Formats: sequence, C-alpha cells, structure tokens
Amino acid sequence: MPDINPTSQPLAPGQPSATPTAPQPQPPSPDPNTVLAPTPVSSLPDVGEGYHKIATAILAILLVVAVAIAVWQFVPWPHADTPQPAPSLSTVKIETSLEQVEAAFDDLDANMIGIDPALTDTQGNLSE
Amino acid sequence: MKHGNIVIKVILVLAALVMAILPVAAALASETLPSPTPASTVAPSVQQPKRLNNLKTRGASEIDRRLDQLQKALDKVQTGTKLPDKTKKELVNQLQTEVTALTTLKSKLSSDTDLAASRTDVQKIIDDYRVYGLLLPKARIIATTDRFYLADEHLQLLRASLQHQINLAKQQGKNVTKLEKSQANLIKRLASARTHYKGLPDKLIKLPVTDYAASHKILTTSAAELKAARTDFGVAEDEAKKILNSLRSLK
Repeated sequence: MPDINPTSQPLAPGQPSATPTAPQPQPPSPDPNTVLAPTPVSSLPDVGEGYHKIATAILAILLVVAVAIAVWQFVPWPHADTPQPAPSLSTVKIETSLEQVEAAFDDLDANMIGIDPALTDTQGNLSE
Repeated sequence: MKHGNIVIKVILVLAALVMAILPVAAALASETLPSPTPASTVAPSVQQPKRLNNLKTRGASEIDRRLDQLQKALDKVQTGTKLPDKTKKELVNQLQTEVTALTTLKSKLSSDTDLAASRTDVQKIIDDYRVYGLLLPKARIIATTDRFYLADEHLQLLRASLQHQINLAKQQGKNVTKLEKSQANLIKRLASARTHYKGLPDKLIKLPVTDYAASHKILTTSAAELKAARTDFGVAEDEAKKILNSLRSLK
C-alpha cells in the first residue's frame, strides 16, 4: 500500500518518529484518602520460615550440650578409680634455690669483712 | 838469780815506757777526737711550722680514712632490707652524727695555728671517736645480720623444695633414709645459726661508747657469733647438696 504521507522519510536510527503516537492510558493517581488493599499473603517472601529454622537449630545445639554436660557430671567414668601415676622427680627447682642461696652467701661473706673490732683506734702514723 | 834480775829489769823498763807514752797519747787524743756537734743553729720558730704542718697533714689523713670507712658502712646499712626500720634509722643517725663531728674536727685542725692545739685535736681523733674500735664493727655486724636474715629466707625455700622431692621419692617407694637424715641435719643447722645472729641488732644498737673495754668485748663476742652462724649455714648448704646429688641418682 503506498505511504499516505509521500514526504515521509525513512527514520534514521535513534531518530524519533514524526508520526504522533496515541497517548498511553495514565495510571490512576493515588488518592491519599484511599486505604490500600492488603497484599495477599501468598505473594509475600517467606521470611518467617528462615527464622524458624535458625531457632530450631539453636535449640537442638543447646539440647545436645545439656545432655553432654549431664552425662559428664553424673555418669561415673570407668577410669575414675584408677590411681594417677606419681609425678616424676625433678631437681630443677632445687637447683634454682641453691643458686639463690649461693648468691646470698657471696653477699654475706662480703659484708663479714671488718666485723672484728680493732684492738685500739690508733691506726696510722700520727707523729709530728 | 841472774834470770830473775833480767825479768825485773824488763818490767821496770816497760813501766817506764808506759809512763812516758801515756801523757803523749792523752795529748794526741785531745787534739784528734772530733769535738761534739754544737747545738743546732736553726731557730725554733722555723722548725715549729714544719712540725705543725706535718701534724695537720697526718691528722687530716686519719680523719679522711675514718670518714671513708664510715660512709661505706652507712651504705651497707641503708641497702639492708630485713632490719626493723627503727633500728636502721637509729644506726644511720649514729653514723651520720659521727661523720659530721669528724668533719668539724678536720676543719678545726686545719685552722689550728699552734702546735699544742693541733696535738690536742689530733689526739681527739683517737680518744673521742672510737671509729675502728667501736662504731665501725658495730655498724658492720648489724648490717651483716641483715644479710643473714636474707640468706635464711633462701635456705628455707631450698629446704621446702628438698622436702617436696624427698616426699615424692618416698611415694615412689624409693629408699629415702639417708635423705631424711641429711634433711634433719640441715634443719638443725639452720636453727642453730638463728640462735647466733638473732637479737644482735637490738643488743648492739645501744652499745655505750663510754665504757670502751666492756663494749669492745661485746663486739668481739658478737663477731664470733656471726662466724659461728656462717659455719652453720655452710654445713646446711653441704647437706642440701648431698640431698640434691642423691635425688639425681634416684631419678
């Protein structure tokens, strides 16, 4: 069919159409006084189920811990009556103490020099 | 007879010769013997300053020696950690008083202008300040007692460590008879040492300087007590080493 408008040119890419288009139907403007109808539950995201799962998991863990503690406390272990082996002999602490004693003796001996009183107080040459 | 006559004649000749020589010898001696040195011709006023200076120099030197030793004793007392504060404070005070007094005497001696005054001041160094005889040994004995208390603390820790290991060895069924005997001896020696040094600071702090002989005797006895305590400590240390060697062989 021939073009009605003989002067129409083919549109370049990006060039807006010269033919006026029919106005699109406008959505009704919201009336602030209108109460919106609640959205159906089936269309909401399922948040409650996630929290429910986490809570269940926490409770399960706590239950397991409580049982474990009860078992540890009240069930007698088979090795409870087995005598513990005596700690092995160690002379490290004795050696350290002995070193400290020897250092104290060195100080003591240094201080004992001169404890004997002189026979007289005349020491040195006091002649004219 | 003839022989006798000759002898008599010889004797007579000799006697005559001696009689003749004697006066001549006497005359000669009087001429050749050196005459006694005449009295010094240097005036006393020139000698006295020299003697005065000598005395002042020696006196100052003696005071300096005493001050040096007193300061060292003061340092030893002040670094002590086991003496009661009251005893320490009193001894420090006594030492510092002595230092001040000797310093004043030194100053006076240096300003003396006559020999008599300087002699008096120099004599005071010995008579009025019994530094070597009383104060120094007193300070040293008290300072050493402080070190005995400290050494005893270390020995008590050693004794406790040894006892712990002896008990462990006994639990393991080891024969600890000799160890226990050594430990008992160690404890006995520590107790004995304590009887020697305990109470010495209180006994000596008020030692009078007026009765030199009595105070000197107390100090001599106290020094002997400390030596006995040191011997006890030495034996205790030997016992500890014996126990240690035995424990090593038990491991």
